[in-house]
Amino acid sequence: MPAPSHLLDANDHDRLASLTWYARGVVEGLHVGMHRSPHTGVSVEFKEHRPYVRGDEVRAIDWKLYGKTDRLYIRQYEHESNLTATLLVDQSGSMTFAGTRGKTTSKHLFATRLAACLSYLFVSQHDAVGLGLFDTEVRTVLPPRNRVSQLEHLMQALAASTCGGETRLARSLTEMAGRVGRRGVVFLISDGFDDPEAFLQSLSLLRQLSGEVVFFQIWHPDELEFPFSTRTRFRSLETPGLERILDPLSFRKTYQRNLERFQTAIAEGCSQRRITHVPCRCDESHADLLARFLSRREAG
Amino acid sequence: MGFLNVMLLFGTAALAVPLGIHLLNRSRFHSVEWAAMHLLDMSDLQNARRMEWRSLLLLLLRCLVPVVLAVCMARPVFQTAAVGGASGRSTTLLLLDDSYSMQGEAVNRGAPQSGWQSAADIATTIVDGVARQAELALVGVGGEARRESQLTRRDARPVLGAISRLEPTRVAVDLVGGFRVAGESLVASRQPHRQVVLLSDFQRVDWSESVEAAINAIQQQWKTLPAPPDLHLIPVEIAPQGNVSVSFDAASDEVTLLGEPLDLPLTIHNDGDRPLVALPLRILIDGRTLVSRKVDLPANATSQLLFTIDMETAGEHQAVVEIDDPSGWVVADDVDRLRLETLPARRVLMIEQEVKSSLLDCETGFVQLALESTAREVGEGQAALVRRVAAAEVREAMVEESDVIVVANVARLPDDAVAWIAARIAAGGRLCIFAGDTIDVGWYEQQMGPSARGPLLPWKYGEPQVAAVVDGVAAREAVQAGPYSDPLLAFFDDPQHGQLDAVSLSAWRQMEAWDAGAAAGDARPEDVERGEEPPLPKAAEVLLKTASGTPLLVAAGYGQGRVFQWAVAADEASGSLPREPVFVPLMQRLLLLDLSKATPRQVVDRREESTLEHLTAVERASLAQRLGGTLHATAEDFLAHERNRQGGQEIWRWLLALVVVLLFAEMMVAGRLTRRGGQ
Repeated sequence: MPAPSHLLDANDHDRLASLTWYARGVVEGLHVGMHRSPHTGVSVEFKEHRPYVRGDEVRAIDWKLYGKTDRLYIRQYEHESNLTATLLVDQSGSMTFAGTRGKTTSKHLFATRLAACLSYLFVSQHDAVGLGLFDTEVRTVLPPRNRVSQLEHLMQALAASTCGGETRLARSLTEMAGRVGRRGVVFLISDGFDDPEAFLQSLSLLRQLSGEVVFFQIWHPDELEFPFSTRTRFRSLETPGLERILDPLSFRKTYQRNLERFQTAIAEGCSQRRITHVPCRCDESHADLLARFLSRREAG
Repeated sequence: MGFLNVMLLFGTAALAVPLGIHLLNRSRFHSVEWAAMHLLDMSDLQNARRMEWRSLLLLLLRCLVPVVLAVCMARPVFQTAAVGGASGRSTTLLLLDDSYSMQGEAVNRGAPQSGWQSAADIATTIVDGVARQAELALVGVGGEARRESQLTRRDARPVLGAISRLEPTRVAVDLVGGFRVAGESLVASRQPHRQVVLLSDFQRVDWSESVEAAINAIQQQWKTLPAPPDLHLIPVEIAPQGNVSVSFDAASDEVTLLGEPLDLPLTIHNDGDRPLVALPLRILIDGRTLVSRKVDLPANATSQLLFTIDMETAGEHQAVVEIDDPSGWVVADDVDRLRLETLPARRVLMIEQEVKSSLLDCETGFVQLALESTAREVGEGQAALVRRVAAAEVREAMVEESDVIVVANVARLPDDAVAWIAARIAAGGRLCIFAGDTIDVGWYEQQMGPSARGPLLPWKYGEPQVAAVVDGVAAREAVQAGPYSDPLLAFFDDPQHGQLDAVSLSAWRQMEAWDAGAAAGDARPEDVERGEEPPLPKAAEVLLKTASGTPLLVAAGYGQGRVFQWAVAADEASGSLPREPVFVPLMQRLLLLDLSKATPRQVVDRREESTLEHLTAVERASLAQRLGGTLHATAEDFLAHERNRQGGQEIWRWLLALVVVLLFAEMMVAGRLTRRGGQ
């Protein structure tokens, strides 16, 4: 289990300092922030005047305009709210996969570091950030906060997270969809190893309830390249006792076909549901991945 | 299927190696913790099965390689239905072409050698190879096919000895005779399998359609044998080269008389592509060079030459013509031999009733002229030495020293003369009796008839006959036209030799066969007592008739001699015969040519191999197919075939090739299985 401080190193700080997340739509927030809100309120950004009606706050009357027009108008300002970001991190058994070719970053470590980066990014933007850790069910939930101390809580929760158990993404996401209160952005960091149909349905529900959903699908290079040449017994990381002995040389084509089919199903399902799908390899820099993703998102 | 090294079959146990490795690999595997188990789903069952099959195929290939290799090293022998039982015993009859053309230079990878030497080597190799399992015999087919060695069982020495003794003949190959002799020899075979092996240079000229047809007919006879023989053809490759041949022209049945100029027509053929200048040519008679000349011959040309030679002595001679090419080009038919006989002068005794001073007044004048016309100059090489004597003056010595006796219009001879004449004729002389108006028919019947002591007269004489008179003019009787059955007269079937039917007769004497009751040859008791029983006259035959069928000339054998009995006189009294040109050759043939003894010209050697052109490989294969035989390129091929027949065919080469194929297939299948990303 990495120390909380190890989730973000100095390079990450430098890299993330220049990054900003802008919400694509209006977001509801309790605090003034950098994102447009559906509500008008206290703000420096004037929006419009409207005639005074009974019940309006007297302090909102534009007395200067009253002096000119002799009518009472209320000044309305653009309300700028903070963003509520919810990080859903998969800590199922499959996320522990760290490859078979020496010491490499596990998918889980990559996921927690990516989540830490996102947490840092949003906290630094004074946006509220929450965290949900789940495997077969939701294990840990940190409600969204925009306090600086939230970052520490998030780091500790991420550092403390351990993987195990089967993945029941669809069920966990459905559960999390009910907990995501306000419209904001949900980041799902997972390998997505579940039944694609059910998984995509749960994502769709999440999308409807929370606004924007970004799915970081974590792949280990070994899962993409299947670098086996000798007869191999594959033991499941999630289901004890589940194993399969294969001749990788003769099975590689089938594996690659299965992989392609799975990736296509996820990518097309996300596209149809307007869910941002970001496949990523856990051997690349999470900060670079984030920077690249944000720049692409900003561009269009 | 058998194996020459059965022990090496244990090598098939090497099958356990790939099988063990396979099973070991199946039990050994690398174990990894894996997340994406759902991607290991074998949903692509078809591909999975295909992969499985390929794995099994790979295993099979890997198992087959050591197995096939072990079987290959065990030298398997594939046995067909072996003819001749397990022992493979057979009778092998070698037909060895020792004809003239085998002297050509053989196509040989080693030192230069003649085709004959090459053939002898091949024959020796074959004999050595099959001797232990075969009865052997050798038939030479150069010239007249003949058996050079008898069938010997498991003993090659007689055949090898015959091969070493043989030399190429100077004559053409006798294929038909060779096949016939082979069939005759195989009758004595007791082996269950028989084969005839022909070693020849396969000259194109030797394999005419007629020869093939004759051989096919002989092969049909072979099928009646208990075990029809197989035919094997082994060519002796002879390098193509030019050749010059010389030969006497077609033999004639003419017998040369002493004193006659001897014409020797020759044909020289240049079968090469270069002209020959001043080619030495010699003609030898009895070993003595009579003609030596140099001749020029363009390329691919034939030249005919005629040489005339004077024969100085009578008897049988051999004429030899030789050509010699200093470049050594001539390898066949550079010599030809002709056997001929020159008959000596015949002593002719002509007995007349009365000898007259003028030749043509004599009864036998025309006959003498006819016989002496063969002499070119008087006293030189005369074919006939004529002595004329009156009937009353005939002496025994005269008769004894005469080869031919002519009795022309003699009324009667002294009694003793008939006995002398009969003895001389019985010893091989010739008697020619001409009729005439003065003969005493009764005396002839009594003294020379069948009951006489010397029954020389073939038929009895009858009354004189004359040609019918038509409209006051005496008609003439013509002589019957040919063809003539007797060999002496068959000569006149060719009009160029004279026309017998041009002869017209005005008078003749009737002739008829003796009565059946007058038994010919009845010996008189006193002759039997003295042991001088006269020879029995042989059956008379009519040689010549008139156009109306009247017998004109009758002949009959008497002892070793022959009697000719004419119905006409020897002079002009009977018609135009003495004046006709045909009279000269007719008399010469009847009285001088002793065809029963003389040997006509005869080419000693047959010479048909001048063109050294051989059948091509394709033509030889086609010939073998037509003859139902098997063509072998070398003796080793034949022996391999023989080993196959006896013991089967070794197939290790095929198996070794199979191993290579299996290895290649293993590489292919393994490559497809192990190729990254491929199936």
